[in-house]
Amino acid sequence: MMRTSVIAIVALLTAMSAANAAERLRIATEGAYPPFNLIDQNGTLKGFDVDIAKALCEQLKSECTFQTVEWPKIIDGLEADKYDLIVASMAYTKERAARVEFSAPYYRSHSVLVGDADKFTDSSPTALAGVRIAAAEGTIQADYVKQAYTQSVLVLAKDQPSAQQLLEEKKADLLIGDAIELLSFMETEKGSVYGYVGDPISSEFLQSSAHIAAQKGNVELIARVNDALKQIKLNGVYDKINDQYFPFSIY
Amino acid sequence: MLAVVVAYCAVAAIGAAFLLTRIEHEAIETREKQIPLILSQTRNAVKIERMSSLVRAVFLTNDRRLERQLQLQIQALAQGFGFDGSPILIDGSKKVAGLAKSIVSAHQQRRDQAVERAGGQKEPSQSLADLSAYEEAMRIIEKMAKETSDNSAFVADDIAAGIQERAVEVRYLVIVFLTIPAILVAMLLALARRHLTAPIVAAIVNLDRIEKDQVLKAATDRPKLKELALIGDAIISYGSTASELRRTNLVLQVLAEKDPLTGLANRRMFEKFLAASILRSTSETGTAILLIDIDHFKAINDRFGHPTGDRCLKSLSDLLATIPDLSNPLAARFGGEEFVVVYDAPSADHAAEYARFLCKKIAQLETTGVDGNTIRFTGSVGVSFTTSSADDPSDLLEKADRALYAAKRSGRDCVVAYGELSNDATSGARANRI
Repeated sequence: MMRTSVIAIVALLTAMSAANAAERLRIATEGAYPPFNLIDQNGTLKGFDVDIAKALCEQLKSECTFQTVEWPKIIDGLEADKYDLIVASMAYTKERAARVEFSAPYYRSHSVLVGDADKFTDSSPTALAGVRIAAAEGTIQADYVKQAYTQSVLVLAKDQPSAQQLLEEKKADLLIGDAIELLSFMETEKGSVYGYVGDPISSEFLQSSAHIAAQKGNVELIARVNDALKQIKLNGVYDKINDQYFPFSIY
Repeated sequence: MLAVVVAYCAVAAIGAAFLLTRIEHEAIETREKQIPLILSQTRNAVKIERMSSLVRAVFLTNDRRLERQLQLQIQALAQGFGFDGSPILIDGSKKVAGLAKSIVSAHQQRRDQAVERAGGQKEPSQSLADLSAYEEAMRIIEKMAKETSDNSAFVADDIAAGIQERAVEVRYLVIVFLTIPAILVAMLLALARRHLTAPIVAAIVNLDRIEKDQVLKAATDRPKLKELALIGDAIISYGSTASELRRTNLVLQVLAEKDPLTGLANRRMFEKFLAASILRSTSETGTAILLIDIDHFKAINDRFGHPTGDRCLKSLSDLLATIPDLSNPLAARFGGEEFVVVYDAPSADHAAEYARFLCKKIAQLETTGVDGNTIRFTGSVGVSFTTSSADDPSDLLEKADRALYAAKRSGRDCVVAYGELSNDATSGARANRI
């Protein structure tokens, strides 16, 4: 009699503590896409994406851990269940959507060409025939250049900072990337000589909006992430983070 | 009745559910479409405000690096309007970005001119290009701001109007659905008054009538409710039972006062009559008791049988029932073979005289027996008399009884008046043998 009641109490406490235990979410990001996600000199993971992810975790009342993954392998890791969410300024493509569940966008931007704004004024494919355009491997911008700028020369780098370096080292004439990310680049010392070339590229291939990704089929987690996103936009947490990085709202 | 109520509730519930579902759908639509719309317009308003301050900053500054930075920001910001702005906003922002560029180049021109002037001797030409570009940019921004706030106001007004419409509908629904039951309840109360309380009151009145032994009145129209009709009928039937009982009671009472065999009053009734008679006595009119006993009645019964004995009793009682010339008489059977007559007598002598008369008459009676033989018998009479209304009836009876006893002892078939027995032994009205 005594033993069964003790067992019952222990079972109840375990169940209660299990229910009260916070959910754990493992978050992956690239770590090489300033100012959205980067690793600073001290080795700390920082950036807009990281701050947004932390804000969402707080809203979801979950404990989050972060890890950095190389961009080409980041979806593979999600499929292998190494982490639960990718918060890394990932844009929506049909191919990616076949492998992951995408959330609603958490910021929106365009793709632009950046380079010597005095030399290049026209950004149409015909005008840029033979021009070397740098892009990061595995990005939608790289795919776009392959498709639309067939007469230009695509120079691939392993990530965005490396693509920027190609431009600086004059190994490429133009750099294609996200307008907001490139704004941060152009505000640096090295990037100050460059400017936007032509109009922002608006094409259905090139929606630069950033989404959060979860494992395919995990609709419930994505629904909760969307809800949390809505909440932090309504309660001002998103705006506070936005203001720390950019002079205007990037949503 | 119940079905009507249930149907009404069902209709009201369905109507309310329908309206409320519509309200819910509109609330969902508001949340999903119109709130985001307002939010994006708010965002646009903030972006326009920010653009305005950036343009102002680029106009006021003369620092090349800052100019460049601001111009890039204006460009990036302008690109952002493409997502959810109206054509006015998209075109306007593009123009403003272009104007910011021209402000920067105007500044640059002025700086170059300033350098030239330092070197050469040219006259400074004031360039107002940046000012006009700035003013144009501000005008465009102003237009964009107005467009956005108009849009927001429109959407908000739309939402409010929708809510108001729904609120009015719900109000009508509630009023109608509450008024109808109120009217119904009033009607029900009126109906209840007619069909419930009226029959009940009629039944109660009937019960009252039963108590007072009055004639019952059946309701002119039958109550609609079966149960009440049953109650009404039950009460009426109870009423007729009650009156039957009363009649039976009366009969029983009468029976209780009559001797069944002879039809004369029985002892109970006699005693009541005697008491009343004594109370009436005055010195002019007193009360006389004649106590009559059949002589040798037992012998008659033994010899001829009880049925014949009964017949003798019957013929004597028939005689006594029709005795003439007495005031307020009552003849009663007093016991097995004892009879009594009480009447208002003027004097004791009158009573004695009448008693002798009775004796003679009794002796003349002929009774036909069961076997056909004729039987004759005689009687003894004891008489008592009083004029005092305060006299005790049982005392007077006792006197008559003692007189009767004396008469029997004196040889029967005679009369003894009580007064004579005690006082006057020589009085002429002694027992007479006929």
